[in-house]
Amino acid sequence: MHSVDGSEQEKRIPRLASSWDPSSLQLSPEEGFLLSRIDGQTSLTLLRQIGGIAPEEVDRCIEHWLSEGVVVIDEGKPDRAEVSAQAAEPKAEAEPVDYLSDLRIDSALDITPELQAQILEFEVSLDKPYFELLEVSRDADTKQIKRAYFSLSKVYHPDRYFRANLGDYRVRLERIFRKLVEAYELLSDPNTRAEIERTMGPMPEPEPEPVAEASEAGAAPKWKLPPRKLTKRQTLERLRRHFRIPPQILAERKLKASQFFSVAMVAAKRERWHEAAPNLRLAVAFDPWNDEYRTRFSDILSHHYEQRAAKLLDSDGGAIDQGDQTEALRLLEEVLIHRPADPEVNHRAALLALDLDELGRATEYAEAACELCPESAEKWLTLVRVLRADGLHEKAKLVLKEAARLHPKNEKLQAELQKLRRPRRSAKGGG
Amino acid sequence: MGHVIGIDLGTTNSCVAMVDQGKPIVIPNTGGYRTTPSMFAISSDGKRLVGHLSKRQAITNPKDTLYAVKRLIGRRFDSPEVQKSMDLCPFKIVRGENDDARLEIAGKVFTCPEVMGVVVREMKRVAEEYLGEPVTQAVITVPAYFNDTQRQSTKDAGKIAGLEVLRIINEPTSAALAYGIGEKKEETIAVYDLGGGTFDISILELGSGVIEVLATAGDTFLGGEDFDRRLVAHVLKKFQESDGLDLSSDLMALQRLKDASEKAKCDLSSLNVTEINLPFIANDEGGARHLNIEVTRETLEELVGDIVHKTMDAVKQCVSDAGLTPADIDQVVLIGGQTRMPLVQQCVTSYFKKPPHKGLNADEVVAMGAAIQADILASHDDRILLLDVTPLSLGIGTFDGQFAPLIPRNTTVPTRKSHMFTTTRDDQTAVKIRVLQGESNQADENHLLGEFVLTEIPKAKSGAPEIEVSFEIDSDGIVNVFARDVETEREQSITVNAAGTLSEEEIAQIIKTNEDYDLPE
Ligand SMILES: Nc1ncnc2c1ncn2[C@@H]1O[C@H](COP(=O)(O)OP(=O)(O)OP(=O)(O)O)[C@@H](O)[C@H]1O
Ligand SMILES: [Mg+2]
Repeated sequence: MHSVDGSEQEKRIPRLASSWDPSSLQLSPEEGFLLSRIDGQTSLTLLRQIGGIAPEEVDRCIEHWLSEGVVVIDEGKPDRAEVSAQAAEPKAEAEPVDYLSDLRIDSALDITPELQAQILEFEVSLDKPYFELLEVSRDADTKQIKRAYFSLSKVYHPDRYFRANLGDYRVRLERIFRKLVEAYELLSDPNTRAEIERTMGPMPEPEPEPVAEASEAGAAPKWKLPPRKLTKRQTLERLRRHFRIPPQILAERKLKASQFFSVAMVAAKRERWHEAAPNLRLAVAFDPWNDEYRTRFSDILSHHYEQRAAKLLDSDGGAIDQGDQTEALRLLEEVLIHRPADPEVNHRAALLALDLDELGRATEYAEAACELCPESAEKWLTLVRVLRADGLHEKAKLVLKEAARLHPKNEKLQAELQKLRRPRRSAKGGG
Repeated sequence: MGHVIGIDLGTTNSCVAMVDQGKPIVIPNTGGYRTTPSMFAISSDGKRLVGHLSKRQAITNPKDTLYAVKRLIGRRFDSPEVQKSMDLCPFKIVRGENDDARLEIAGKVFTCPEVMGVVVREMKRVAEEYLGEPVTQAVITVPAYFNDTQRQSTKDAGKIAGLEVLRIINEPTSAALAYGIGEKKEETIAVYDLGGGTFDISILELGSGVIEVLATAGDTFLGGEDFDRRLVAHVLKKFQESDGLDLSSDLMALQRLKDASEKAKCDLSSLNVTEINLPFIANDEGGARHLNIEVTRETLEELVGDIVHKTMDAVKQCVSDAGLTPADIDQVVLIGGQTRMPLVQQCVTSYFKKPPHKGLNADEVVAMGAAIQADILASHDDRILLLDVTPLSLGIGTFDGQFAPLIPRNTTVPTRKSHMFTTTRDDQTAVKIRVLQGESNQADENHLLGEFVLTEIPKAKSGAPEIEVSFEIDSDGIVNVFARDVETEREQSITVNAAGTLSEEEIAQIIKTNEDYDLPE
């Protein structure tokens, strides 16, 4: 898409040939969908931008139909030619995916291996639908689209790494940035956006909210944990749809993925998580259909983040820098994306957030920890501490009672409960 | 890492700034001035003078004093702008080897980048004196509407001055950066910049640490200079009517009149009436003649009204290019000395239906923005990002004299577009492409950036070779062209016949020659 001239494409508008027998074709649902979009008005460029179908796939289909005589393209007069220079026909086949060859994580560059992996991961899926590219939902308004574009630009704009040694990552960044601009421009213009949406079909139904089960009479707890919110990544994961990729490109991608995977596994054996993680991440990016890569990735990534978080918190007895704590919390949150049901990690995150005075997040993690492991009295105590720090004394009281009910023998809990029963010396004393 | 500076290289005045402890500051020169006249002269005793020193002797030495050279930089000698300037400038403009406009004073010929380079070097010196250490890197500003050749030439001026130019940024964008820094609000602003020689209008969006230019328009040959010229012509006519004397061929009288007219123009921004008083302006049989003419604000407004309205046409165009209406603009920021004129402020206010933003120093804000951008780039600051656009459509000339745009104006840079070329004759081994910038359908009415000749094309049937030519506009707004033979994957060699810019050798030669001249303090 990058090397084929767009302004020429803009003028190439396929239409259905009049002498066409529909029964002569065996169409897959995607092909049928594409064919239904050929109306003699939609340009090739726009057809290639249809969300959900890879541009290479569009090219392949159109070329095939052209040769079958199903579709024709009226060539305008061969204008725009110079005396000695003439614009050649745009090639119908897809651009060779040259960015696949010769890519690797290079530790000699000025950007971290993680950022390199992130860039490659983003780049390999540049052809995904625009909404997904900008990481916005399909009902996003222009403001949200602009914000998404701004925040992605701040990561991928080449200026961020001004004059740094980026190897061929500079070219990759430029390619990504151009694509972001394209997505932003097309989605900000109501006309092109409508066109894109039309070609994407109906909006997927939102997942129903989990309905609170009717509680059993008698044992009804007075206090209930709220449903967990989806992390941003999980939401994206749900948004993501796979599109078909031409077989030869697919084979190439799979090969590349398996190479990354082997590098990652060697590193993992030596517990070099910081090397294993980016490589595995790329294996997943290049071959998202491989379940083994995915599971191993989750696993290794959380090892990697956990290890880094632990390192940050290992103070050798000295005070821990607040920046380190913030970073450690961020890392634990990354771990939670992969192991959301790990009560220990949730608990550690809650304690860190409490230290950092991030009470909203502290509550969320402490609640999750209690929900996942109600048999641990320690976690309930943390939740009580968090709620009190947040000034939610009533709620803390309810939680404490619930915890004490579950742990009738835990001394600390019972002592806290006793404190509650004793009349306070000063009703308005500091919280 | 040493200090990085920002330079506003103006038509009339230049200003240098840097970021000190997170804040942009303007660096004053040893005389305490915060801006320096963009003038260069060779005095009668052969001394090279720049800035205030040059300005001070301009009246007595008009033909060897260069000013407003920014209006000529990157233009071809035959262009209407250069031809018009030749009629009005006291110094000599001559045709250069690359068909560029060059300047001749005291018997020596200078290229425009060389003269601008002298001013840049002065700004560099001001910064070095203040810091007490050498400065090697800078961001330099240009009018947003500058084309590729003008930008390239400005970069050359920086090189000639011994600076590594980190980035060329647009003056209104630079002002917006200085305005928006530290602002958390989401806002749409218009920056109207009317300086000594150029006019720009840009519409920008600020928010979440990103400054995005939505659209830009302007005129690189419209500014305070033109206001002065109208007034000079008016006074000349009046004087001829009253005294029967034509002063227009008397260089010294003209220079005095130009100075006095500019001063009167500025006075009329705060007064309703003023007087141009030039005793002993001429001598003839009847003895000494004195010029004394009263000018009212109303007269001035009549003389220049059409120029101001012309700027408003560009404003309307720009707002519509941004896909907005005047009501969508939250703030209007005025920069450039000529915006102090009440008529300009009235027109802007009545169009946007809101008074312009106050509280920025219109003369310094551009340099401060340049300093901020220099600091952001050099320190990899991830809090702010500038997203600018290309002001002019970029395209190629077709055989029938038409212009085929490839990258439309107001496209976010950096950007790149590819186009396929082939041969039209069997065994043809070279193909010529003309690259142009502008908005006209007619190739000739646009600005020719250069002619590129693709050579060493393998012999084949006509139409068989496929050469992919990529047109790239970088963050400086400068155009680069690459070519690749699709089949052989070979990079094609390109011969460039850039119009009006200096070659590397020419720049090196100029730097070498100039080393012999150390400017006096
Ligand atoms: N009070 C005033 N009223 C009217 N015009 C003024 C006033 N003060 C300065 N000017 C004019 O402003 C012009 C200079 O403005 P400025 O210094 O902003 O231009 P510049 O930055 O050198 O030029 P440019 O930005 O066009 O390259 C001169 O033409 C000057 O006469
Ligand atoms: Mg200016």
